Amino acid sequence: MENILEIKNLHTYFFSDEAQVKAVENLNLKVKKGEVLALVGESACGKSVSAYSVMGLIDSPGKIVKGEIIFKGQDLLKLPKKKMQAIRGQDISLVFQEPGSSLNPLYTIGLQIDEMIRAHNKTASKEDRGKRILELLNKVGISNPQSRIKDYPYNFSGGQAQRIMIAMALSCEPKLLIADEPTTSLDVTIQAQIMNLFMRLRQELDFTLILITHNLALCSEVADRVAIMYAGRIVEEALIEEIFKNPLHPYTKALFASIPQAESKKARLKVIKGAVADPSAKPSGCHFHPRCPLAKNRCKVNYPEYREISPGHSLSCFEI
Amino acid sequence: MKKKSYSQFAIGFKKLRKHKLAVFSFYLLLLLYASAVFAGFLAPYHYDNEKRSLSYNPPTKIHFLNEDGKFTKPYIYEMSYKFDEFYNRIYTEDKSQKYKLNFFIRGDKYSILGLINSDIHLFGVDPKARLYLLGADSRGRDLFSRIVYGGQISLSIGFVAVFISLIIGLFVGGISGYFKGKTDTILMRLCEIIMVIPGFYLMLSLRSIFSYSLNSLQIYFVIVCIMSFIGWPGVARIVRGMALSLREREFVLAARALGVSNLKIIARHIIPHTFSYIVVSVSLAIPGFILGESALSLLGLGIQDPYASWGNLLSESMAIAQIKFHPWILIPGFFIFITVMAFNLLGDGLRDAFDPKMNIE
Repeated sequence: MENILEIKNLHTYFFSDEAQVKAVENLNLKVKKGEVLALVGESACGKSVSAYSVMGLIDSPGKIVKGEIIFKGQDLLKLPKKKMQAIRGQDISLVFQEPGSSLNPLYTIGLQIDEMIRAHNKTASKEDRGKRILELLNKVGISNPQSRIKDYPYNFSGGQAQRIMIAMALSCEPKLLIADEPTTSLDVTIQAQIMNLFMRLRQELDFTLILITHNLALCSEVADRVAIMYAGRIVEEALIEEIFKNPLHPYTKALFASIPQAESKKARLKVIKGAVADPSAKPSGCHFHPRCPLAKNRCKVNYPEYREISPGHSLSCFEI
Repeated sequence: MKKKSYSQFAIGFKKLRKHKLAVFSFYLLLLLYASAVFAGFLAPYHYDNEKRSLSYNPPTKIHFLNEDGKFTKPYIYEMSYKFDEFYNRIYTEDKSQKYKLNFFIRGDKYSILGLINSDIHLFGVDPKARLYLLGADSRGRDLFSRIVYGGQISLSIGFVAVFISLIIGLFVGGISGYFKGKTDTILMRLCEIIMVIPGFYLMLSLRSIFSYSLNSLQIYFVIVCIMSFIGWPGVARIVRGMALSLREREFVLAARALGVSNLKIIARHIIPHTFSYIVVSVSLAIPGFILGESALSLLGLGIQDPYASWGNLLSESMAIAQIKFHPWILIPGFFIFITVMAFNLLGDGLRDAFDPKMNIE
């Protein structure tokens, strides 16, 4: 299967007077055409920064220091700004975490979807755009779209707002959709609805989905492949069945162990000891070593190489 | 039945309607602006229609009762004067001839906005007598007419200057806050250079760049330019501050992520969010510009005679003796006062209705 997106050796740092925050370090990721890849990790592990790097949305004080992002055979980092702007929304789209605040409260949702269509298709006539808006709203399951076009964002619930954001993101039928924790701020029943919507639309529109989440249960239902991130690096990557059956990296294991189990009410919830690595002062060697049960001396000195241990299953750990 | 969905502005205006004083001020201003637009029709005389023999004629008394003490159509008497021992004119009514106050009477020619040309005035008297509703100035021109005509300049200058400084301020502030970095530093230092110079001196020194003898249209233009030049940095600084925080909002990021261009984001997602502040600041800034024009004209650097503005009408009252003997020449000041007051009250109401702090969480 061909790769739609290939991230090579990506380093995205944030600079401040006191410190250099290495938000993403040496990130290598291949996304196959048509798959659902889940990018999983704790808060502040660099998931969103990776996504923004791909979208070219890293602003000062942040900077992509090194790396390549190959999309459709061209390096996005080398593209002029104007071209990158045309790619955003057209070829690669992003759905955000907070649907409520991702919509501009001053405009009706019809106008906002219209803006997206116009940004990429300057020749479309008003009637065509109007039809397209209705079609999109129908597609994402907004009931009675005709009457809701003139509504303001505050008239919509979180789930509905997310549906509208998805409609906007898909307005130009992108090849790659990055969903940055699309269901985190929604309640559980709505989460399921939104994920079902993603899966249905994926079949209809045939796009590749990168799902950024920290919800492993969600991954198990929708993802084809999972990449686990810790402290700005990918530590393990495998097919979904493989990772659930056979998690190898100590961090992945710990993550799975800390999923609450409904049956074992009396047992205490397992947690990973220690705190997430401070991105401005990461531990030397393997960043996970202070919390790792297997840590040896060499883990404190060198960062383990990222290697493939069985076809499609890669990780970086000395002890496995 | 589905309820209509209201925009934030519609909600703001609903709130504004409950603010009685602001609504009253709004209608008062509407009246003042309407009178400036229809000055020609409303004023009994042209602003330069003089009768030097009636210098400083006091306000004309309008009689409603005839000699028998019965109600009659309003009429006036012609005035005649004698000199007192200091050669001041003492005016008395010449009761030999009554002049009826006529409505829709023909008089001086005028044009409204260059569209309607006419010579019909709302009221007036037979040309043999003269009607001085608010008294006359040194050259026997009707002060009421001059005030109404003066409103055209005084009231519009604030609006035009605010409008121009707003456009520059929004543009510069929006760009500065959105792009941050070097652009921001350069633009903001520029603003500060203008802002550190005390406004009034800057105004005077800028005026001195231009020739003293300009025609009235050129002067109007020069004053507008000076005022906008002084006004825009204030707007730009505040808009820049708001843009800095707005650019971090999710909907701006979302618009960027979906490929909307930077200028469109500034125009459609940043600047409209500053409007709640803009509406308030405009209504509070206009009085400053009106006062600025008045100050320039008062010093003789603004609008020149024979054209009238409220400031240059007041310049006649700079000598204390004039105020003592002809107190009515202070009336233009009263018009400045109520206009400034009304704008401030309206601004207060707008602030309550559109409080930026309530709209930007």
